[in-house]
Amino acid sequence: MREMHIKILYSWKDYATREGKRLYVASDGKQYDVSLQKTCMKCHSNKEKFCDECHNYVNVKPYCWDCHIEPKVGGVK
Amino acid sequence: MITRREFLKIAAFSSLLGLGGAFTINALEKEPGQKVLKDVNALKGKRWAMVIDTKKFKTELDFEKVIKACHKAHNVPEIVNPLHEIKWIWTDDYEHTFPGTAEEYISDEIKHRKFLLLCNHCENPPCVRVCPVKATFKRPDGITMQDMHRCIGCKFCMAGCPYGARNYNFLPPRDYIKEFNPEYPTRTLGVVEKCTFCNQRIDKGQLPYCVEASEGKIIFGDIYDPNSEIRKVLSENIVIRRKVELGTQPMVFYII
Repeated sequence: MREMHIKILYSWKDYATREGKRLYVASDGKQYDVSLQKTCMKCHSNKEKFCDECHNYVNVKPYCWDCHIEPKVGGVK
Repeated sequence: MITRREFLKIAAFSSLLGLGGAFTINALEKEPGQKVLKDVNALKGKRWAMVIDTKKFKTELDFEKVIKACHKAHNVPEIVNPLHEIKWIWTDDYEHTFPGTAEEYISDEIKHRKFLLLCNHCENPPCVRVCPVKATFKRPDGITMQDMHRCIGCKFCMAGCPYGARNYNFLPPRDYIKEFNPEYPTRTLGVVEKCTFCNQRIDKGQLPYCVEASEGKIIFGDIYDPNSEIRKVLSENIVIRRKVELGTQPMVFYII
């Protein structure tokens, strides 16, 4: 996930917008909504720790949060 | 980190050597081994369409409720300057809604009536034809959808759309949103946006926000299904569409 998360995010974007497929079934059978804002960031709710720390270290600047709304600090909206 | 100039140089020389193929990017980046499914509750339709009963929209409040429901849910910025404004659903008068087909001697009541306008989700959409990056495309169920990640902001679609349904983000949209809906993204500076027929709700089995907020004044359904409610409404009423002479086959019908 550390290396490949951008690929899964991009493919999710295509599944959701292009094909209207919005239900991800994980290998353990659990189902998730295909959504960065509503699924990933619900649990990984601390953007500073979860996103920025690595991105700053490797100096990549993804533009996810130009559009997607980041969770409020503390996790709970 | 290589500069843009260096990258272009490398690309130019390697294409001379026939390595160009290695640089092409897959249009759809599918990660194999994933199981992504359609929701079982999703509304099923072959061609979504909408009928707006303009007789039932009487007061300003009727319009406001519908427009607010959409704009609030989709984080549409409120920009007053008409040069920069963003709108997914809006109103206009008879003459400007149906130019070319507007009857001069029609009743005063209709002349002064307001009409609810939105993207027509045309059967033959010019915006899709002109988009150079396939950011805007037609879903199999007829929704004219756009992929904000691909939009390069060239504005061709705005020139192509005869209905003025598309707006470019000239200003940073987040500065003009009063209250954010955390369930939906905003847009960014330099992309074009429009109504998406609430495809995210259709995929979950819900009706579009405007249909829900209109309380029966807007009918939504599958126009290819002869037994659908929308077909019943269309067969019982006289409807007009906007600028049919252009051949775009708009999917939004107006009961006059």
